[in-house]
Amino acid sequence: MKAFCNGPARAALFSGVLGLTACGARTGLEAGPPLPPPPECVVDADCPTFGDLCNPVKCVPLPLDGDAGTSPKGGTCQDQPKIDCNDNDPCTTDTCAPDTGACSYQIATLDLDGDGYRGPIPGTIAGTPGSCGDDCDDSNAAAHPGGKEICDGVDNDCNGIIDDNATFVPVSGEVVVSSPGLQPASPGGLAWSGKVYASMYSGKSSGDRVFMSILNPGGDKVNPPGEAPFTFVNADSFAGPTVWVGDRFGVIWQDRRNNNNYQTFFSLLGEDGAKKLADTQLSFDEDNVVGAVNPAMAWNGTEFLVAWQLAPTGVYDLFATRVGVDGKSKTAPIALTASGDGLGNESPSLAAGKDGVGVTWFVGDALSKSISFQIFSTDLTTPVIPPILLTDGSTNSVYPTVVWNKDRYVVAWADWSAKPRAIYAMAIGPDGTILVPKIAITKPGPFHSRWPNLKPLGDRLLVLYSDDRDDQNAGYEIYSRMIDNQLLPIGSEQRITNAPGDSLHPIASFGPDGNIGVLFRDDRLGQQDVWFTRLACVAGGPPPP
Amino acid sequence: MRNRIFLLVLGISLPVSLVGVAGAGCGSVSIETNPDEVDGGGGDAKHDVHTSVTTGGPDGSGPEDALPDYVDPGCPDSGPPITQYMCDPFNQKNGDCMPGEGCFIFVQYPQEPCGQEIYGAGCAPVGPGGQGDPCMGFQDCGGGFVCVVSGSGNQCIQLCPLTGKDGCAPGLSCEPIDVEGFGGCL
Repeated sequence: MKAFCNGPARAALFSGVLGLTACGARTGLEAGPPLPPPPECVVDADCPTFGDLCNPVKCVPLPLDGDAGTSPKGGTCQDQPKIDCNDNDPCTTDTCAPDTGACSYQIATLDLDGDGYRGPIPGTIAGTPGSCGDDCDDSNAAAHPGGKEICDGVDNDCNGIIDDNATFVPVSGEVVVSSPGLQPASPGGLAWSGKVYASMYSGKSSGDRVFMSILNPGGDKVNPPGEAPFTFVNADSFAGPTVWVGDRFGVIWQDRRNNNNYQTFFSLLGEDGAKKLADTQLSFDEDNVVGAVNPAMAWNGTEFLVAWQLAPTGVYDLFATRVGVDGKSKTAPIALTASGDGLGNESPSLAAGKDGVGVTWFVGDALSKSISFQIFSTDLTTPVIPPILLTDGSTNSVYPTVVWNKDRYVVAWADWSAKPRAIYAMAIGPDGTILVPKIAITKPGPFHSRWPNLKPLGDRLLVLYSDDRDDQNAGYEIYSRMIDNQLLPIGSEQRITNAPGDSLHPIASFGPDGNIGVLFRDDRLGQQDVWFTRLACVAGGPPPP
Repeated sequence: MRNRIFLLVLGISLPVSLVGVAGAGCGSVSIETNPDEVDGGGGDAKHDVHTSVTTGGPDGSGPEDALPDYVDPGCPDSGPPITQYMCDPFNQKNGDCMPGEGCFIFVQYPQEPCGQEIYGAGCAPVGPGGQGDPCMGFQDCGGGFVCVVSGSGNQCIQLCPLTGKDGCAPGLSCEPIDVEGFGGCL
């Protein structure tokens, strides 16, 4: 009956054939033997899925009546073999068009940077079987198989190593980025497009706002657009990370324009400094604490991965979503953690790795502070491994960050009460195996190292951090050092800033000619401003045999 | 992103009369889309996207940019923040507050998209919390401290001025709070 109750035309048809209405209430007053059920269909078009040529259906006549040798009018709907568009090629997205039944096969990977080489499927390593792409960095046309390795902060030849054997040294000439009148200003994100840096930061202007400056390789503002507001609401907005993906910057931040709570927002920014997308809200739940804060972002080759902390049940948990290159969310927010033990999950950082996404975060409360790490599926929906506690809560380990470095995740954090009060790190394999246990990677002596930032180089990592060991120069200064994949130091530590006062929160980005741009906060002028400096790449010798 | 610290508003019990009324909304701000409402996808912006195409790079001769610009309609500038200071948070013992009370900063978030925040300070009974102690609101912290969402547990931290000598203990820096003009030692 289901096919016939939907429209008056079909109801009329069968009332004529069988002498009664097909759809109507029956009562106990009706006389006579029960009538046989009407047939399901007369023609193919009576079948519910008719018209979907990918899933064809036929109205098959009912069998002949044995006594009369006649066939009742009508039949039953029977599914026919479905169109199988699977070409067994993992590198294509196979679809069937319902209106024609025709198969189409779209290449599953993209060439976003236009260098003629496609990036890998998310969660795979470029050039490996099943990756369907061999461009190790599809956001940069200077990186592709067969490229010539030069000192440019890029893995030009896709051998997994950036600027083979090079080191990085500070370049004199620090530049203040945020304008007078925006203090206190704080850095949020920095990314290099191949021609310019996009620097995102927070500044005071009738409340906190997100500002944007497009910078040249030396850190000077490019005019136009110069410095410009990026958010245009009166409620507080705070800048977050930015990522270049080949033809646009993805930008995230948090503001509380709505609903009495902070929420996480996303937009796109062009190299020209123009906003390319309306502010798009990614988080939606509210809480009674402060809302969705501390957003983090990574790029997996085809999607932005965004995470934040929120306390819908009163205790913080982490949530995440995936955002397409067009800025549209691919999914509703996904809960990454469940604070069943009453401890909060805060300050996420995430990195796209092999076969998954590594997420690290703070877990605990004001009295018990630990660092946790977990690997999720590439779509963030499924844990690949259970969470791993990297510290035991006996010390104040806080504000972790994670990167993927060729074949492993490297997690770094500051410990504010351990001995030494240093930056610590661990290396973890894509299956969750601890490759290098916790080790201090800075040496503050009796002082403090804080705010680590990692730049993966494949066979080594550059670590930037703040340290207050210079007792003669009040406050923190920014340092860097190279470590190998065993997290052991390579070469000497570099001091990047020397001005009195605090130099804090370094955010590094690969830049031109092997430079590494660094955005940081500094109060050398008496107030908190956002500054830019850079490290230069010094080409190394030939690779070891 | 470097972590920010935010005033924990849970438990604030300052009288509404102290904080006044948020600024009027304009009713025409950008854009939110809930993927739940659009079949798992993003959604349409409430505002039109301009269709002009930018063709020049930052120096006027750079790369062609195929993405259309979006002109953010924004909110009308509401001017300087509204402030209501009934006492001086940096001078807890100047007699502004009664014995047993402290002077605590607060923020009232806007209720409307273009609304304006209100910053201020008022007197309230002091709590026991000192630097780094857990808190659920200002009432858990002592005078001169503030309860913040720190990204490493909600905790009381010492108020500090964002310019000049901050008075923070060695190893701590004065981090801005989302209450204009105030920082906290972290």
